[in-house]
Amino acid sequence: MNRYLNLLDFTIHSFFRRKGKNISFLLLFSYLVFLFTSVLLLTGAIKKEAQRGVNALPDIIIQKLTAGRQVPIPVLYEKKLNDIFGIQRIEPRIWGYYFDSPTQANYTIIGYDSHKTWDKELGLIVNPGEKGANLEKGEAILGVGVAKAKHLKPGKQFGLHTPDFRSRSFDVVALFKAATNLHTYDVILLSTKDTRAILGVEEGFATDLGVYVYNKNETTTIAKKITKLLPGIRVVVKNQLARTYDTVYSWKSGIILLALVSCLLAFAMMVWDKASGLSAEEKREIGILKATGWDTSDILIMKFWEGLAISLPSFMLGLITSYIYTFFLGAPLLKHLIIGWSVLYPPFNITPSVDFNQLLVLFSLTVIPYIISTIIPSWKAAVIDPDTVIRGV
Amino acid sequence: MILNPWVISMYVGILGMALLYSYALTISAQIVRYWDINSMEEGQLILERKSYLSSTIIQYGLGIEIVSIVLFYMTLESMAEVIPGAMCATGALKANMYGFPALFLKMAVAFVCAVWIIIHHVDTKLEDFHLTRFKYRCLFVLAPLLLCDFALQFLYFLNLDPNVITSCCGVVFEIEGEGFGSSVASLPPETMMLTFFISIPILLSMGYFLSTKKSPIGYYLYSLFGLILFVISILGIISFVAPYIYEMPTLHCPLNIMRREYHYIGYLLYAFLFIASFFSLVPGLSEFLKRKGGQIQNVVDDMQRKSIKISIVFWVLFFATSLLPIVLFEIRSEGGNLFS
Repeated sequence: MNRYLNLLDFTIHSFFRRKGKNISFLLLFSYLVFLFTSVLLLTGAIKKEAQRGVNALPDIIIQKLTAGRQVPIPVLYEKKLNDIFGIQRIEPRIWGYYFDSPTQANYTIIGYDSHKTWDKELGLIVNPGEKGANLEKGEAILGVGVAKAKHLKPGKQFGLHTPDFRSRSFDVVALFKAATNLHTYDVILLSTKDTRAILGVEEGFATDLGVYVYNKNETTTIAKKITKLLPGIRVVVKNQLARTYDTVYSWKSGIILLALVSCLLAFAMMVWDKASGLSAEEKREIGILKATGWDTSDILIMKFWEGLAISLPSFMLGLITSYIYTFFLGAPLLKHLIIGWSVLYPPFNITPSVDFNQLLVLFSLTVIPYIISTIIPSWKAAVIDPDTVIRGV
Repeated sequence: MILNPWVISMYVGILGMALLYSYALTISAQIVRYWDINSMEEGQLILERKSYLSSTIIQYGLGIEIVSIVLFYMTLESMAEVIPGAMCATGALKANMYGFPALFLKMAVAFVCAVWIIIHHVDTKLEDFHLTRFKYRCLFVLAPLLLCDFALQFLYFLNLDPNVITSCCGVVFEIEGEGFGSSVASLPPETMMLTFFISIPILLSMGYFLSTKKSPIGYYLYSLFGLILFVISILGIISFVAPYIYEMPTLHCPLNIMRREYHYIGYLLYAFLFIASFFSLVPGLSEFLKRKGGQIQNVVDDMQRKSIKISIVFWVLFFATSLLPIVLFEIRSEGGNLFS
């Protein structure tokens, strides 16, 4: 044990003797770690965020298809499903996208029926002090993004067009809380009637039906039964959606990482080169060490410590900077690469989360290749013949 | 085919390892062929130097293989979210026929690496490098294992189909269900506990006796018993330690205990168990080395005593760790019986 500690001591001292070279190398390595970590942390966080979004959805969504396109679904379909055991409730949902030409952006308009009991939680997500749980005709609740784009605040009015170019005006009664940005940033919440008018969904129809199930394990079975009962529909199961999100984001980050692996290879080559191109001074040092009784295996251990002395601090540095970049700065540039692009994309704050698994993946992606690429060069250094070096041949 | 950061990181590690290992193998071939300790020629000097390199590679290799096992487990955990039916690593492993073999092979590779390092350790202590040729011949055993490891892992990820429904660990380790996992889970927990808690003190006292006195038969017995205890421990983890950790008499999955919800206790448990079992195998295995003659006798004797001591320490740690959830449960439930 003592032997290892003494060797470590020696290594640290020799590290500081060659400060400039080692520190620039350390910075480069931390940059690489930083790239890898940012991709991994960001996808991890986005996956969690997407998961939370999916959790808010109904267990099963029923859409009507005509000629392969989604069309409004008759609300009467609800009655046909009454016999299926295990359904908690069915909720006709009226919502859709609205292109607003003055701001050149797409908004999501959602119909809200304040008379239904399960919609009473609105007060929780709307800023307090405003008009809460009731949304009457001609009133609207806006997402932060919409309010910003249209320069609106509670108490002001704005106009929307129906499909037949008639203009309707709405009072802004409240804004959604910023904490719900990821889901409400581009949302305009109107009463059900108004939503029908703006989106052109006729009475008796809905955009889709959301089905809530008592026992989540029965979801697939119930979805199968629904498919058999109703003609010309598409059934979207929540779990499937969650799985798709997971796969898509893993795949995206996989592709980016694969591109980064080529950086890694280049870096490994550099490490190799740096480690094998010993300066005359370093060779001399090793020669003297061996002449004073150091064993080849001692030099190998020293080289191992040297590798750790560079790679571990770089790893930590890369990790910390990436944490700051991802969770405090919101990962500029990289975020767009992974999420996608859109005019009104929510500037959501990514919830910090790091786990042991991610750290191990990062470690094996960066430190292990580094160590592998130093093995042969350090062996070459370790077997240097003392007398040839000291004589200066 | 699934591509995610976990899978990529596994490939990076294993590819780097494969490259280095094949280099080590060419060196071993040269050593096996041309090694002559009495020669004063330059070739022999170069070989002596090269032998340092290949032994370094294998030592790093063991470390990388261990990281790779943990990574494999984590990859499986991340897969479990994607594969329908799977809720943890067990389900992901069952998703196709390559899963479990890949896991076991990884363990085998780590084990062979560790055994090799022990032989190497003995060899470096010998002045006449008596074991050098032998140890590099042994290195060839690793080649097919590593190759299979790589192939199985590749095949596993290649054939992983997110559309095929697999079974959850609740089914694999179901009481009175079908298959090997179920039959282990159905073992009566009380009997298993009794066997487990009786065998450990026996092994410990045996180890204590052997660390003061040397006896070849004792070493063989110790290793044999260590092996048996290893099997008992694995069965024990499935049949009663895991349920105590989950505080659920019907949950027997031996892999979920490594999750964060259970404070990663599984990592500790398995690390202690594997180290303890390995070092209890060393005395018996190295007894065979003594037949090689030379000064090996003394070096091996020394090592046997040391490894028995190490194994005792780790068995005690393992014992304590597996007792911990039981004690915690008893405190929380105020003396309740989990399995009644």
